[in-house]
Amino acid sequence: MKLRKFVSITGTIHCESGLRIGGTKEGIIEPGGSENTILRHPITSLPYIPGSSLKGKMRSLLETDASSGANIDNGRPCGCGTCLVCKVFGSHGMAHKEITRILVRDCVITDKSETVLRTAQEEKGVNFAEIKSENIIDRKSGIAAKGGLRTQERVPSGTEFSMNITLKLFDGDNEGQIVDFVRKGLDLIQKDYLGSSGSRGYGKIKIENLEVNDLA
Amino acid sequence: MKTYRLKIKPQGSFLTLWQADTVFGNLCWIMAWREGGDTLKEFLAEYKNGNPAVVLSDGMPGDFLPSPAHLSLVEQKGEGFAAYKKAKELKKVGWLTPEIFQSVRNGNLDINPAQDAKTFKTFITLHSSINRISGTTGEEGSLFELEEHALSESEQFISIYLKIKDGWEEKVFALFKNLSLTGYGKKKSVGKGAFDIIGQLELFHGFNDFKGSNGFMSLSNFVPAKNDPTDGFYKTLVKYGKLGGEFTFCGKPFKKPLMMLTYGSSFKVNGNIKPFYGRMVENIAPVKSEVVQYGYSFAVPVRLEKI
Repeated sequence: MKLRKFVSITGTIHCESGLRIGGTKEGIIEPGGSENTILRHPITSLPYIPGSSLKGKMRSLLETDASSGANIDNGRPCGCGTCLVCKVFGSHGMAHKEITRILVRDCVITDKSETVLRTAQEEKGVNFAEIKSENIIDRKSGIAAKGGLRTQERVPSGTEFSMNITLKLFDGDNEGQIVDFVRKGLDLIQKDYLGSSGSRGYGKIKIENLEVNDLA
Repeated sequence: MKTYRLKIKPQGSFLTLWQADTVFGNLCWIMAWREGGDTLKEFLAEYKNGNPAVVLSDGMPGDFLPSPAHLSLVEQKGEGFAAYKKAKELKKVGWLTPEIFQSVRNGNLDINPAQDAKTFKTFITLHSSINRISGTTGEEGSLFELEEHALSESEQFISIYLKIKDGWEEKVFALFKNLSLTGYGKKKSVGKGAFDIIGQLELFHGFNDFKGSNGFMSLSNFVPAKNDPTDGFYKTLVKYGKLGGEFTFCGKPFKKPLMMLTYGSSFKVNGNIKPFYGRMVENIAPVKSEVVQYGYSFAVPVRLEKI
């Protein structure tokens, strides 16, 4: 296989609602602190969207799309090695594998959003995330059920992240088809959601300033 | 061969440590994809003949350089608890500042161990796969963890030192540039090992030979060649290598386990100190006979007479 070129797809992910991609909490939980923290960079402690979340969500939505040709009858990622999903995102399992064409980088918070959230941290004590309380309604009494109250961290709406995707194109690859396929995946995420709890409104995103450029 | 330094800035975390043989393997795949398998075969043939075009060091955090294996063996002036304590402290020193490194290189092993640096952070992240029918996670086997590494906040870049044969500079830089577009190591497709190159290749004079040197210290893990020096100090690691690129899908993507000497190993040399030691290891992959393992040592002249 001969590598013909690299194509970059860049853009800005704008959170139209709170975004929650769960992380693990190291050390001791402070009194009153949330147990359900978001994912943060281990060194800078800034929230980010992992490339694995963006790629995984794109792939799963494209696999459930009727025209993809992917085989998902058992609920697992497609491993046929022949459909476009397997070609672009990599075949799940060992059979019929090819080089994965797509590289989805971690999406880091934009300078603009970092400034806004730092100001909020200094003025309001917000630690780069809002704390959202949720509960369960007791179906008989119509009030909050005992034990149903919990808190969740999520990145506030309005926060923006830089998106950076690279495509490796080999001889024989149909560039237009692959680029359009990735665009479709991004479009599907905007209609669906990113992260967790999408059915209750979390993770609605909009991708702005989408650009496709040749790299080398 | 001239010595250069390349600074790279990781864009996030990475799963694969910046070991010279792994970096070399990644560059070889770039060469194969860009210029074809025959070009790569010619390139590797020179390595098998002991005539490498480029010798790499492992990736070092910032300006730091590794502590040599013989550092903790320095003969203390006094015996007893204080000497024992100091030797134990020196054993824990992983990285040295350039100034201390030069001092150690010149044979002065009486350093302040408090100047050790915490340069890399290792942590665990949780990942899961989405069930394509339910759209949620949580079923058996869908949750898994990965061990990741990142530079600590105090370090801005990783340094890779290179000894390059004249005329190869542009090509080597182009290979790294291409590697920066694909990412390095495991899980590239989800952004792990993404990096930028800072600036260009910089000529580096910090490892020049000096009067009184009588040995070398390796800045990369390596496999000694038949006639390499044997009188020295070293640690070992067992490398469980894997095939990369398309070879990952050959059914048995594992190399045979290989014992290597680690960076920081140092050996006494009679006569001139060569720019590199070590060799390529052949017949390392059971199902791909053409695969070789990079085992060259990036040698830095040192003085070992006090040990």
